[in-house]
Amino acid sequence: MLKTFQRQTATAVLRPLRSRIASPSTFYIADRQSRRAYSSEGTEHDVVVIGGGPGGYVAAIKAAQLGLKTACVEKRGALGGTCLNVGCIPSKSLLNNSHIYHQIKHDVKHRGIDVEGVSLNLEGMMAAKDKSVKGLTSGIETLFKMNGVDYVKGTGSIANETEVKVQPLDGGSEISLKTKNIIIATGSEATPFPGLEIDEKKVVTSTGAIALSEVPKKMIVIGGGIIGLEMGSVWSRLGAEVTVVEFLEAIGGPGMDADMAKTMQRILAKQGIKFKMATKVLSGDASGEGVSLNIESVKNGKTETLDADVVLVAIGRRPYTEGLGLENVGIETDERGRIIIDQEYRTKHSNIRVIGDVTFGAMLAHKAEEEGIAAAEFIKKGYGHVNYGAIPSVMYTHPEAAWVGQTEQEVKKSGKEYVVGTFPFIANSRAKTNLDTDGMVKFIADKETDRVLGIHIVGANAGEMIAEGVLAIEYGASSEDIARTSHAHPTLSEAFKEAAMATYDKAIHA
Amino acid sequence: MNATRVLARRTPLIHFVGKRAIPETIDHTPRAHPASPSSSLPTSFKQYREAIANQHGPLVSRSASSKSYFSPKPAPGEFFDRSELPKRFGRLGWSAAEIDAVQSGGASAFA
Repeated sequence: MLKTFQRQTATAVLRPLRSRIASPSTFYIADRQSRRAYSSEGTEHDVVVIGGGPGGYVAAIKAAQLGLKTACVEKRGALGGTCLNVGCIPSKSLLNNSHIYHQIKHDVKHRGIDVEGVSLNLEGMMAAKDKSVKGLTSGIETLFKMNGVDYVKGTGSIANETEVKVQPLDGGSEISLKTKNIIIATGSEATPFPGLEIDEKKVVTSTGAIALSEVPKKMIVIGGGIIGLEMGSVWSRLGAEVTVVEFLEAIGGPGMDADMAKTMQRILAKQGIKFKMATKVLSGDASGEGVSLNIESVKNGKTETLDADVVLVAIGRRPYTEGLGLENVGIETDERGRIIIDQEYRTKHSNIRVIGDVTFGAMLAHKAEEEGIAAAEFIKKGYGHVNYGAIPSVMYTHPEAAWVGQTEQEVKKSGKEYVVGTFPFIANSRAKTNLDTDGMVKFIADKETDRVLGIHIVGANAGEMIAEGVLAIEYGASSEDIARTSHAHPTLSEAFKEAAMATYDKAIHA
Repeated sequence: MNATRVLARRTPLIHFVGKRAIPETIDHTPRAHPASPSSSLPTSFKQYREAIANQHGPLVSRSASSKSYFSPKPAPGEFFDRSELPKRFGRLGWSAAEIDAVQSGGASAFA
């Protein structure tokens, strides 16, 4: 510490005015005494977001909307991350279009519609998918321009707590981004299966599964979670014989209520998907024309060999931090590679925040988006909000499965007394007229207060219907609140109301 | 009419709580993230902040004792030298364009 500080005499210096990242082109004369920062002030950002996926691009836009000078670094060459480029969006395109194909081929004859000569044009289906992806990713670029976010195409690495170095995609020289805050939003990647090398042709992750050039005769899906069942559904509808091998005894992963998992498995089995539950994959061999897997029953140790043309590895995803430079700033990860953060998304460096798949919580695009907004608000306002108890999950099979809040198993484990109300779509007028009656709605509510604790839906349009449930949980609604709210007739949402009625009293139509 | 009377007695659990507002007091003390499976933070968070990082913003609740302990203000009559401040307040490097601009008296900016 100095005892005295002699301020220097003011002199005029040059500094860039609203300069861009790489080459400031306009300068103006500034009085030295009046400027508070230094030579490259114009190039310093308030926020640099590393990763342009659903968490990163939303954080960048929100930060810019809050008046912060913001840059977003993305290495893929297209914004939107895994979700838009090789995840949620392309898979939904294939799910939707394969469902239409399957319906025309197998279902419309029951509806008085005769169609002949239906055939699959897989190339065309993939082109439709690519068109959707391109439209959406370029749309984000437009949003960046509209909101004044600097889009930096390259690989970002944290050099120190206030600097991100970017290796441009076009091979140019390294760019240094000085910044007051960094938001890490680098997402996740598919977890590989030990002993099976991913080639995205025969042994594929979800990335390869959305881009197969022909329909495999036989497909094995390792992992009965959401990704595996969605992609298994796509290729099953297009003609593949699909077998799902799942280590656990239930599909859908740990978040799905056991009743709904059973219902869903029964429906998917009816559609032709085979299941090997409580089964472990011991080893795989992809050296031949196809792939063979050795599997073992967890219950009785019985082994078996399965052959397939394509194996989809869908055993989960892991945080992606490769080349991020965490070691340069001593940022810690946990045993599963997730970056450790506090309640305001801060690492131990309070100006470096982390959102989305690369840190704690469900690996869901909409969860990352919420965190992106909250992180930007924490930077600007010191306050943000995400309710982790009200994050919905959706599986976009047909019928869809969707849920929010706690499962019955979780409530039971907590020791809280609860009531359950259900309503099947077979008793819903709209589902009947649609000839689409698989599934049900299930409510779990606190026995004493009637407050809704969890809502689980299997049924057509469940992914849209769950929004009402999320709102109910966010507001702390009782099942009676929902039951006494008018729902239009005839709609599928009446099943939602009736399940609420069944929870606090009795349903009318069941 | 009877039904209306019955409903009138019912108080919905959902009620309007007014426009959302930022709480007047917010405790920024680092705590475990709500989705953290371990529900704890490594000791490095506390150590780092107590040792060197209090310049990054409000890190602790603003009790009188913590305010005085963590205050970044120098004592009366003393001043910080820029070199003592964290890197983020330091001089940034000159870019090539800026150096060119200085050396050419600004002409390079219009070349």
